[in-house]
Amino acid sequence: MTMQNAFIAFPWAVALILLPLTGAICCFLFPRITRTLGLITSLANVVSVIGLSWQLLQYGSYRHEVGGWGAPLGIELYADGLSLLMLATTALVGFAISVYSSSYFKPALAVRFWPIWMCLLAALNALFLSADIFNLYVTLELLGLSAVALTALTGSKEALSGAMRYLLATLLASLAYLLGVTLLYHSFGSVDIGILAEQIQASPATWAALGLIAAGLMLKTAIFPLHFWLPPAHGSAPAPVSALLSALVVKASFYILLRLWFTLFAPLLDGDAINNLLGLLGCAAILWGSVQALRQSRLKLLIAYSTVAQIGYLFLVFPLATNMGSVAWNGVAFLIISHALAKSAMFLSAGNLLCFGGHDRIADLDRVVQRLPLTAAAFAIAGVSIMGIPPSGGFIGKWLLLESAMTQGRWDLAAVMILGGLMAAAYIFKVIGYTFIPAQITHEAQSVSASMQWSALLLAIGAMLLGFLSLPVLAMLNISDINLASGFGL
Amino acid sequence: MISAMNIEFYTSILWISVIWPLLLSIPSLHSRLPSPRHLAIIPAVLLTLIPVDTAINIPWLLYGTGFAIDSNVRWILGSVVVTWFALATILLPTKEQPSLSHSTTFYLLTLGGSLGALLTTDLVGFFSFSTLMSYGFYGLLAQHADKSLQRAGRLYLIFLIAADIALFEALLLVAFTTEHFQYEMVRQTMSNISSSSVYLYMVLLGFALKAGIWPFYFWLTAIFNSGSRVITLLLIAGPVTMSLLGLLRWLPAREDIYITGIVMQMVGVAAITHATFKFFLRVMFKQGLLRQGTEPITIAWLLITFTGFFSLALGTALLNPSLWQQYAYIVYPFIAAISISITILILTAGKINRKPESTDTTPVFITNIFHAFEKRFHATKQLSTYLKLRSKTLWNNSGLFVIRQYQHVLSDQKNKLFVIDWKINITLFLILGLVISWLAT
Amino acid sequence: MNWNSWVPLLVVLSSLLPGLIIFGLPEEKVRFRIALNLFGALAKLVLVGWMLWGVYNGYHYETRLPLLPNLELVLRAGPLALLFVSLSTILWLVTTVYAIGYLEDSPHRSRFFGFFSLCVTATVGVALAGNLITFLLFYELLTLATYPLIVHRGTEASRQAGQTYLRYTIFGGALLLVGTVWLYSLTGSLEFTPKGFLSNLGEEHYPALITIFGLLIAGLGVKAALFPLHGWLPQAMVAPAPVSALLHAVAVVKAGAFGIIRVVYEVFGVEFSAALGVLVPLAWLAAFTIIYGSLRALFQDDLKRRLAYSTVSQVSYIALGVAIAGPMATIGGVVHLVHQGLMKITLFFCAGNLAETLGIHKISEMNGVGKRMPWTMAAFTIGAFGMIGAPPIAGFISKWYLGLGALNTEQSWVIFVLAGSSLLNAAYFLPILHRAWFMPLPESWPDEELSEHDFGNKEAAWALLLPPLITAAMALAAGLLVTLPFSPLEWAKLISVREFYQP
Repeated sequence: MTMQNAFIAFPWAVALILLPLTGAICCFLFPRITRTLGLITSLANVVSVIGLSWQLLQYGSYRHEVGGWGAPLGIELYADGLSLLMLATTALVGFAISVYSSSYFKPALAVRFWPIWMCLLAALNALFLSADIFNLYVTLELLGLSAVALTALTGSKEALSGAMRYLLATLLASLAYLLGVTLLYHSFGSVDIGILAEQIQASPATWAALGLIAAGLMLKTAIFPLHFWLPPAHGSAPAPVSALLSALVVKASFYILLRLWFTLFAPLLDGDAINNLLGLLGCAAILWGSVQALRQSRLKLLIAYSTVAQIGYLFLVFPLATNMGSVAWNGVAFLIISHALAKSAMFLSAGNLLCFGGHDRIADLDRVVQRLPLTAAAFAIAGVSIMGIPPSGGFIGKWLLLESAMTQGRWDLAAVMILGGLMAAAYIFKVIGYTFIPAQITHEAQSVSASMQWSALLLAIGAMLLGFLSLPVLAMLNISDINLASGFGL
Repeated sequence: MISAMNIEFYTSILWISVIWPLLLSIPSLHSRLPSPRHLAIIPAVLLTLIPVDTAINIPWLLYGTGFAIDSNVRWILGSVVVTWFALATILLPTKEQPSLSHSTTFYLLTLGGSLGALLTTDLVGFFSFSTLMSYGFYGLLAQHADKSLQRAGRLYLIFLIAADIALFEALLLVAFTTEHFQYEMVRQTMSNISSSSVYLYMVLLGFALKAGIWPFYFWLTAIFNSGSRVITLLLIAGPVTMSLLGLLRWLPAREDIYITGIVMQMVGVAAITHATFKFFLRVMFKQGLLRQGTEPITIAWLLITFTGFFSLALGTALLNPSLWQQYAYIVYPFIAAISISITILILTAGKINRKPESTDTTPVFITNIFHAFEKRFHATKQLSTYLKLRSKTLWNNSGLFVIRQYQHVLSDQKNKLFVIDWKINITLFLILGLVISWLAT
Repeated sequence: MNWNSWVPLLVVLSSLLPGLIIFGLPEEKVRFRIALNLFGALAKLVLVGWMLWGVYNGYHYETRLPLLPNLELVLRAGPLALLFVSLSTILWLVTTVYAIGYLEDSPHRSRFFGFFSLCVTATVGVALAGNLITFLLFYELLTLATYPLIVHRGTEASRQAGQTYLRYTIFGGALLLVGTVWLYSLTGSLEFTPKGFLSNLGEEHYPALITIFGLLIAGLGVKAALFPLHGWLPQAMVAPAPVSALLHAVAVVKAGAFGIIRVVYEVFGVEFSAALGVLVPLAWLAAFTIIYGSLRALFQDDLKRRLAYSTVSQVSYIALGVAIAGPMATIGGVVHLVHQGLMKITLFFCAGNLAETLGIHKISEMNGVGKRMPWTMAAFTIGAFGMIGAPPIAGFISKWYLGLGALNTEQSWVIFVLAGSSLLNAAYFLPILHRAWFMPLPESWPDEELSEHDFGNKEAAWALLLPPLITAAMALAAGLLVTLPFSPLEWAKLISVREFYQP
């Protein structure tokens, strides 16, 4: 069947980068139909990811030389299981957010939203497909700038100050990262990950590079104690933008950290101390973020602090994945995907509540369960995944991490995970409890369009269904060149 | 062939005489029939009059129980039927109780329970039916309009519950030892095991409580003292007779239980002396006894005397089993005789002469404690839950306050300059980079 | 296609799908909703009956779905599972009828019945679970599904009750999760096997196993209301009566007790647990809870709270039966699962009837109710006598076997606990009966809506009256006809034979 062959042979990876870029330009050029163009591009993105996944299932991991120029001079695109999963998550969440935004934004804001959102999508796709560290820098910068622009979209005072803080933090981080890249390039003469991984040796330059790159990426991922920029930015941005930031943007820098840690810097990281440091930061993030979330009286800030806590879970992969490899790795991958789905659902439902009542004070959520049942359901189901209660994707991820922690005798990590789950349950059910009862002050209710409610609900249901799809997802994760336990990708 | 048909007919009368009163006790049923109380006894009357011994086994009911009648049981059945018949006749509507519907229900329940207890062949059935009978009797006591009778009923209930617990333990012991619950088998098996003394004590205790044998007679005197003839008749026909019968049936046939035998004899003697003392005291200080008719309380003491005799006899039999074999056939008629005689006395008793409370030996303090208990602990609010207490201490603690200050350091305040905040953050950032690099070496 | 491997899944889905559809129904579609509810209940009943017949004839029903690498979602119909699932199904049908009558003209019935169905789905999943991870999954789902039922009324009091409930149950769920993961990391398997699968582990694991046992029992003990984890149960009484009935007799409390049975018999194995020495503390705890619950019940004036504490006490009978570790005690504990369900649901139905028809919530308001609502109080009487342990109602049978089991294993102190508990039960149930039947009627009832609910000669609507009568009759039959082949007792005997090395 030539049609099928053509479908498989098509360079989907390139399409994934080019399509959103084109879409961004078109959205900018044609402001009247910007919404439609944005939706079409998002849908095309989903189709491209499906194509790429088909390709990967057939042929294994995928390498593409852009312009026919291979490494070390040219740019290579590389797609394996992990990048495919990140791309798929981006595509799904992105599509849902596009549908949501098409009803959320008024035309004045929409003309500014769609081009920048398409840029962000292009940056994300390119980031997940890059195979050398300088390309990663480029995409990181693009990602950061688009994210800042989106945060400042509404132009209000909090939004501007939050976006400003975010900008300065992200620039600082990118500079550090660039410095690290420079050091490595100077030492080994290449920026390709594969080549560097072969040649890397311990030396002061490499240590400095490791320190700079890691610190920069951790600032971008908002791990405790460098998370100061996240709550203001995520709390004051418009709801779909908050969803994007929490679900996708912070995961991108974490993805780079994972890649570099386990492939590039693996020979340097002999001792346990450094992994335990990251694990310790993760634990602190879980506890701090959950405690702060419990104290919040505004819904969006609560969800933002919840993101801080969930990122802590992700950092637990560092102490756990070195010895036993795949279980913790699978767990973290699951957590990334389910958190992306669940958190975006939560932010979208928070946006619905804001639209509905004009405020997001938790104690005044006036019987939302009756008046916006779909939104309340979306929040509750997404909350179930965040808490790590079965049946949901979050539970599978938590189970895998707990299993690997207990097998390796890391009771401290297991205890912190359980505590984090309990605190998450506390703050999420606090909100849910208030949605059932009438508030002291009632308010005029605005109507919320069906597409906004359904996109939130479908994302939440996706997070729940992920709990039953663990085997296919993990099978996809394992598509790569080399055994994961000893590093991957060349 | 005719006799075969008769046997079948007779067997069905056997179980009908138990089920029929229970069926009739449904209020909507007996309110439609004329004189339901008399109707209910008719199968039992038939049973007494036709001199055929028979039995029936119902394997799926209550662990496999059955009903049987033989000459011994017939004695008691006869006396019981007479008493019930008398009861049925004198249970008339009074000023205080114009509608008899509830009384009839409880009356019929008690009747069904006592007939069932009389006719069953095994322990579990006996226990079940006597429970039904006792609670039915309590129901009759409790729904009477008389206050003193209600108080007496509460006392009866306490004794009843204690007795039931003791008998349940005894039943458990039997179940532990054997699978069969028929009387003879139980008597044999229970005398051979090591814990048969526990069983013996439980049985004695339980039935002594139920029958009002000295010294557990308080509820008996209380009920007699409040003096309704109907109630006291019922007492004879139901609980007391059945309990005496139960004692006979449940006792193990042990040979060498000296102490128990002696104790029982002593109890019997004490009962007789105490009761006779009280009896003659009243007789001495009241003249013209026979003309005015006996007082109900006197009858109570007479009953206690009789049960004392019973206990004495039983004790003697326990001490000397051969006596038991010789004179066992007398016991059933003896019980029947007690029953009939007390019945007659009650029927011919004179008007109630209410005594002041102080001379009555009913322990009122028991009911007082009950009320005090209720009043004090009703809907108490000071028993707050453990968790509420803890959450309060948590919030009052300054732990969270410390975090708040911490947060001021790390996040922005409106009056803090932009730069100061950043200093800390940038410092942390650089420190992190340095630490990671250093750890990698 | 192997039809037999789909039946357990269908049993679970038979209430999930109607529930999801009901969520979307508008409030006015009363008939359609009632039809869906009853259809779901009857379909489940048919499927369970089919499984019963099949298992009796030697068929094997098991569904396996992949959940995690090396772990599957297993739904299996064994004797213990079938006991609990039939109880749940029959009682769900009865409770649905009752709830339809109770919530007539109440707001948000679609939401209520949706979560109601979800709750039963979770219960059936708990019953049919074939390994510990499936059990955990449905156990947590049960927590999530019952929370909206508790806060259904939408008042601040119900919100607080819901928070208390969650505080306890989520904490218990976390403990259960830790125990399960730890067990999995030690043994690599979580399947429920008769007589347990842990007896092969070496001695060096015994401390870990004891800790795991403690964690699992604590996690399950929250729902089973063992002291001191019982605090949520009296608070949850603010929910409507059908919810209380369901929670206490069928779903939540029974799921906890059922979990304890599963863990002790089919994960650890009862003889291995006795060897580890963990059953004696459990027996002490259960005995303490029995007495404690009865004592607290004595001091309550609110009828539903008194029944709640009575549940705390009665469910520990099951734990006690498990902890005594003998075949007879097993029979007693397992059969009490069924009997207590039947009796307690009767009591709660009657309490709901009293509240709904006459506005009675406190025992002090119950004077003379027996004359006004005789059938309801008759059912209540049967349930109360069963709780006290008077023959021939079902409670007598369970106490019988528990006592026998205690005698068999030379733990005679249990007999005293049972006797004391009977005494206390009598002390707090008999005054209620006395008030209802023998006290004179008050001038007016608290909230008798004669105009709307004028039943004339009847005492309540049929939908409210029939369920308690049916369950009371079932409780009576379960005690009276124990030697019939399909009685709960015979079933419990079958289960006990499977779990012990010598029958």
